Amino acid sequence: VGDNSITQLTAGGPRRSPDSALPTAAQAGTGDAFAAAARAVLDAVASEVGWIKRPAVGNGDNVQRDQRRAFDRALARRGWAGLAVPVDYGGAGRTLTELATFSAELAALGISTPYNRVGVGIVAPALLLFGTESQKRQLLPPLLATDCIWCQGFSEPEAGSDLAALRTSAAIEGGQWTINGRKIWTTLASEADYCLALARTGREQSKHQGITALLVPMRQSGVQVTPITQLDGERDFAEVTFDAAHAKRDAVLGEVGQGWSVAMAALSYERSLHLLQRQLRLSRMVDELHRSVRWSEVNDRAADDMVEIAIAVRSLKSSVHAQLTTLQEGRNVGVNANSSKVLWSETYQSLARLGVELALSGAGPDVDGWLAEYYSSLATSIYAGTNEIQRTIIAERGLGLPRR
Amino acid sequence: MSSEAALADDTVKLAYAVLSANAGDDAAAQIAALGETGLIGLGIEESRGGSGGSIALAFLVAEQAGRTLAHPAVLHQMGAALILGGVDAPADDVADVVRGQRTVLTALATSSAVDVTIPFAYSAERLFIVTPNSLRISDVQRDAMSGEGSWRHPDWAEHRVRVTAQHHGREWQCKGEPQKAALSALAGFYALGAASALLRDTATYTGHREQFGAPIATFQAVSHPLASCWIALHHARELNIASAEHVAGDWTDLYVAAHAALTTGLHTAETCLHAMGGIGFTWDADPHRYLKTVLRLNNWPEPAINRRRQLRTLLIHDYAQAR
Repeated sequence: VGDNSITQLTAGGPRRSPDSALPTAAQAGTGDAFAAAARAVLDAVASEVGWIKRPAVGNGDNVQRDQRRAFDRALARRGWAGLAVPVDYGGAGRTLTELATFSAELAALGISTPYNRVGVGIVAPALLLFGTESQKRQLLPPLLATDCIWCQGFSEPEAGSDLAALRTSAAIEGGQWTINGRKIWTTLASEADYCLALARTGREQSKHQGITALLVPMRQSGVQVTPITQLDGERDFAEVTFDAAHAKRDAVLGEVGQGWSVAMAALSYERSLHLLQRQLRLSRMVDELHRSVRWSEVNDRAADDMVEIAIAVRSLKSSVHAQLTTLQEGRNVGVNANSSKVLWSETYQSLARLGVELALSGAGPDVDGWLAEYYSSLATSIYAGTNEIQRTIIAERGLGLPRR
Repeated sequence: MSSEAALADDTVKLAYAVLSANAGDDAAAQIAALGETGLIGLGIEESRGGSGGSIALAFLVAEQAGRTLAHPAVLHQMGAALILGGVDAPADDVADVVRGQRTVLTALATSSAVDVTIPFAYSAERLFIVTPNSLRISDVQRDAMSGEGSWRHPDWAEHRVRVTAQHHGREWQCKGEPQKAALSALAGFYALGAASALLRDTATYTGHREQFGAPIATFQAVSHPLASCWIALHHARELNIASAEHVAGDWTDLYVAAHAALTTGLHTAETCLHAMGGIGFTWDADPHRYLKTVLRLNNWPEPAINRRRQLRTLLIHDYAQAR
């Protein structure tokens, strides 16, 4: 697909270490043996790339990026990428429960999301659900190996929460797709090799119809990426302009006009799987705040806030594990994932706010770390579907309330 | 569906059917019906006079009691059964409680001579007193019970009960904390059931009640707080189910989860009451009955403020020492 050859990037698919004494994830045993193998591999990779366990707070996705990418590539070489993705597509074919075990071990090292987080969290599930056999075999291995970085082109200047209002258009010209339009707040766009982009390809009979999911190469003259500086000074996302950008005719994920379903399924899957990593990170942050505060200097009200946050994190954990079980059984988690996205983001915000307050009071926590978390937390009620959108979905599908 | 899940499903259906058939304020009838169908002794081995099954099933029955707004006195009976099943009591004694043949009140106390206010009290025959280190059972001295009037309904009086040190009951040495956690969990599951039922009623009402030419549920100012309740209830229930299924002798998780259920239940009841507007404040409508029940449960078997104090110690490392 596209004019930017994936096969060049993959250089023959995921690389494995044939001489490694450690098992690949596919070879590892089950239960405790699996957990032990995961720990051993993570230790080996940490040693290989010089990874030092990161602190529980102030360690967002933009810290130690080069080393972070090297870590994921090293994992892939050892056969520990895409744990729950079938082996045929570059994964390890393990269960979601084992993925949870592995994620917990990663979290202990201060790693909560894959470097290629949009690719792993959104694009890979979408490919598995809607991709052709050829697309899956060609695109998934380099994605999982962190050789091909992906971004997601959903939001537009005039289509944020109202995603169906998107204006980016695509049409077949000269045997390929020509794409025009603007995307905004596109995470990882500056370094992405590919974009899963939604574009309008049909008449606007219904806002949700006539949208197609395209696999667009980013490294071409028709794509301009303008980084956007965030409130925390980072430049994690960008504005992407498609000006007669091209994609091959068959670079369609799902059917032409099925883009809305692709996007909704991908976002739903993202919520459940990312939630696991997010919950693990939140648990670690709670432990850190417990540990760092001199509680003799804190009033009962702050302590009660801490208790409520700790309980919310426990609740989130229970729900996320139940959702993983549901997904593992091949069933739909419904609005439970929407629900947990809201609880996660709002608990994160409460925790970060409490952390900042306690830090600024001089009760022990690290000021810079908690300020970074606080700023970062403010984005979480906005991205992956604002919490207002989530509540509207829950009101309609969970409670059966009438639509406006 | 696994056999455990199927058993849980059957238990829920049976409990709902039994309690719906005995809906109302007749605590004795509800206890008798639950006892006859074996729904009180769940979580207690049959050889010890119980009905077998896991303790999680007992909590699911409590949830159905809340869903049907059964007389919360059923929690006294269910709690007494669990407590008695947890000590080395004769099987016949356990069976008496499990079958509902001997009605019971339960209360927590910090010392052996107690003077406690028991919500949801009625004319029970025995009183279970759980202290930090023992379980004491005494016959209820009718003249020691004094009604303090109705807080919800004339039949749901709470009583002040005085039990002197010269009581004539029996006593077992046991840890009080697990017993307290079990009672709290029963209250928590009841609160979850009641709050969920009220939330459903509120969704129905706000979906039909029109203002400004549209159902009020179409306004985000109404629908989003209700969605927030759904979110909170969902997570509190997941936590409580997980804690109940993995209780395995560790009462802390159960106690923590119960707090989530009780506070969520109360907040949901308050939110629903508000969303229903004037109906929420009308005696003849149900919302206030849910609210008052959940409010009382939030303070049973111990005051909510005591529970919060204990949670600080349980969940914040070295908090007690630091203070």
